[in-house]
Amino acid sequence: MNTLKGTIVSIKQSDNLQLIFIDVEGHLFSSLVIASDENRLEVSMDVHLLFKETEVTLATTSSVVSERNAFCSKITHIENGKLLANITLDFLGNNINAIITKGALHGLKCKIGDEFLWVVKANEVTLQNK
Amino acid sequence: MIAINIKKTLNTADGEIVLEVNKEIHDGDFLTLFGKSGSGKTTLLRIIAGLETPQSGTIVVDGVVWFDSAKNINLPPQKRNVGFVFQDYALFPNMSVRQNLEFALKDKKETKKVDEILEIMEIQNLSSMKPDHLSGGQKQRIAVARSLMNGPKILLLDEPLSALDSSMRLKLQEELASVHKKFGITSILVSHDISEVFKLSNRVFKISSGSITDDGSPAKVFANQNLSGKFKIVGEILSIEKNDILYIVKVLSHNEIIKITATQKDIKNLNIGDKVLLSSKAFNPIVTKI
Repeated sequence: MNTLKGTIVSIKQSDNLQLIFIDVEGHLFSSLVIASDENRLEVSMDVHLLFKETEVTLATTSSVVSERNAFCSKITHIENGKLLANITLDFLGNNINAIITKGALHGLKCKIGDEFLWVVKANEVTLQNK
Repeated sequence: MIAINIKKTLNTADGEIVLEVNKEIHDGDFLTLFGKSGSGKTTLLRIIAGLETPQSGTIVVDGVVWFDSAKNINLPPQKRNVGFVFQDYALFPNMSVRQNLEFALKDKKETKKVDEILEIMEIQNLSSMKPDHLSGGQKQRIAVARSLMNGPKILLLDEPLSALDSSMRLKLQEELASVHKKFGITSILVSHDISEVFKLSNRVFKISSGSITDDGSPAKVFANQNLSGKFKIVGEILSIEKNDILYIVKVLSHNEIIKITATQKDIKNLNIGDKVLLSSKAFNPIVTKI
């Protein structure tokens, strides 16, 4: 599980759907949630952003993606399996892991030290109140 | 509302502890007391029922004083209007199901109440049988029926399902939930089964050596995680197996095995037998009509 710490800066709402914007050390993340009474999210609340490694995708830095949770980071480690590879990126001193297929890894020609865009969809980001 | 503020010294296997509770329990709450053996859970139930007397304090239920040590008030159990369900059923073996229920009636003329409860609990077909001829699950249904005979204000459930096998336990959990929904009786359950706690109760007191160390919803008390995930399933880890660079974790929840993937980092503190909370966002599941 990838974990980042942030602070909620704004909330957009449509009926019970909420798009939560979170500042993580100057970078804006978004998380799409269904509003809940028992776990109310509010502006200026400190939260953890949680998302699985298997929900993170990689793209070249010049790519244009629909997702706003897309950030440039350097690859620091690659663990190879038979089918899958676990790529570690350094995001502001935090490790972000992306588990992608080996085929995708070769297609992107990822190697340690390269900069890549890592992307996680807003609906895959879980928020945890601190 | 139950306002309870009591103190009692208990002699337990681990030595002397002081049971100290100062809490309010709201109408319609389904509260679980959760803690190790000897932490004071059953004693607290017995104190509410009037079967044990605290050294000091007060118990006030809907404005009526049941116990006040300073004023020397201590209502006897039969005046407290509670239903009590024990782990070992405590049915009279020489009486039929109907006679067991009739015996519990305070007003012996209210025999139509017996029929009503037999019907609600769907146990009319057992009414002439003796407890020895009933299964554990059936006996416990009779015990629950008996606890409801006098329209109790509070239902006290002392590990009522722990002697039953898991499929019967699941079935009776459903029944307890529906009884609670139907009658709206404030219920207090002693249980060691976390999935049972999640299924039945809206509030949990965690008790340790006589003190309530945590009070909140099951998700808050057990997971201590205010997750925004809409899918929350509690279960127990059956196995953790490495598959390529991932791990597949098998979790048993309500008789079903769920498989989830995890990374080496995720499983670092996980062991077989651990109770875990699985959560997922509302966006992941795919709905298929069956």
